[in-house]
Amino acid sequence: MPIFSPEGPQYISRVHQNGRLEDPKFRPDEPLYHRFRKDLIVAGKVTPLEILPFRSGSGPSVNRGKYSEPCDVLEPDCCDGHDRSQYRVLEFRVEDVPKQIEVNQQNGRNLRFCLKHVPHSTCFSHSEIRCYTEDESGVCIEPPPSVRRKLRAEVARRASIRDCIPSEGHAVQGAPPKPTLGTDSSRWLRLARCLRRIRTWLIG
Amino acid sequence: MPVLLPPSTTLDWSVADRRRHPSIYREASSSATSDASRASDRAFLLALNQVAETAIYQQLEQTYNARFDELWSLQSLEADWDSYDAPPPEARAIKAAERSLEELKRARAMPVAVRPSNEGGVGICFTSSDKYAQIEFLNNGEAFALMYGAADEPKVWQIDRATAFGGVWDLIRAYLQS
Repeated sequence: MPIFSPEGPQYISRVHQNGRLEDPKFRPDEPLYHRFRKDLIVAGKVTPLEILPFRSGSGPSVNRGKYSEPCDVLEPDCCDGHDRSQYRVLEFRVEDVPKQIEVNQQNGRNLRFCLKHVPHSTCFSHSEIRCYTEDESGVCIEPPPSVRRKLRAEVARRASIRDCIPSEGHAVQGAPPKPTLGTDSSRWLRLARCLRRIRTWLIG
Repeated sequence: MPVLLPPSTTLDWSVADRRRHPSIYREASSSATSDASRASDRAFLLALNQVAETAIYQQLEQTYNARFDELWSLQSLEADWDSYDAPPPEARAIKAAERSLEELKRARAMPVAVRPSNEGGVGICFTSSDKYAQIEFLNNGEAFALMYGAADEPKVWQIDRATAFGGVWDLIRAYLQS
């Protein structure tokens, strides 16, 4: 059941695969969406520490904007069924992903990056940022640590952040705010009045 | 002679107190606001607060208290904290970050945040206008420094154990102040 979009045929036809085939073509201005934790923003910006992780055999996951709304990347359908309403959406474009990054200046070796559409049955727009060597062998590799950090930095400095609001009927997951009196003086006056009534009742 | 209310009526004590004659209390302004001779005290307190707010020592203490709190709170992170299967920071990375924070404090650096790394580890973050830098300590013992700006290409290097940590901070400080 979607959290950020109204449930219905429009949502299902957009987010689910519904027999559609992989679309290998990415336009340079196509938006990409990636989720990250709300509470880890530093000075209003995302840091390279928490975005675009490479896991064994796969590149960083993104949703492609051609087939996705920004908040679809937080929907349980695109998060293996988990509620990710405590996350935010990082938006950047295909052209913000560097085409290649130099491994080291001594030998001039470069690694290439490109987008690969990897549709899932409940998340058609799912894609990955893949890394390849220059030799055209076509084998996807995990780039070395320095290259991973450069890629994240390049994306972090160009990306923008989007907030997603749950659709009606969905509460945001997390602990409810602690009840406090705060600094609102009317609340203190109400409390004082209430205490006075209790005292009157006890004495009377 | 005090005037007593009839016992049958419900007592509203606050009103009863006000009606009582002779009155047993009156409103009085506090000594800090009523007495003209206290003006010098107020000026002294104001100056003291201003000095405290701008004191490097106090800023350092507040900054590092917040950073150490952030660092220790990372111990409670669980696997998959980023929703992409990130490992939590381990004791080794947290200890390394703790030692570095102590060194940075001695160097009077002002880190703006301590955050977990999605590669398993801890990062110490610095910002200055449109520039950003981080020092990252990984669970496997490796450490990396990264710095970039809106107009500057990212620069990454590995911090080896032989390098004095102060040298890393000197490079970052020079970049952030440039």
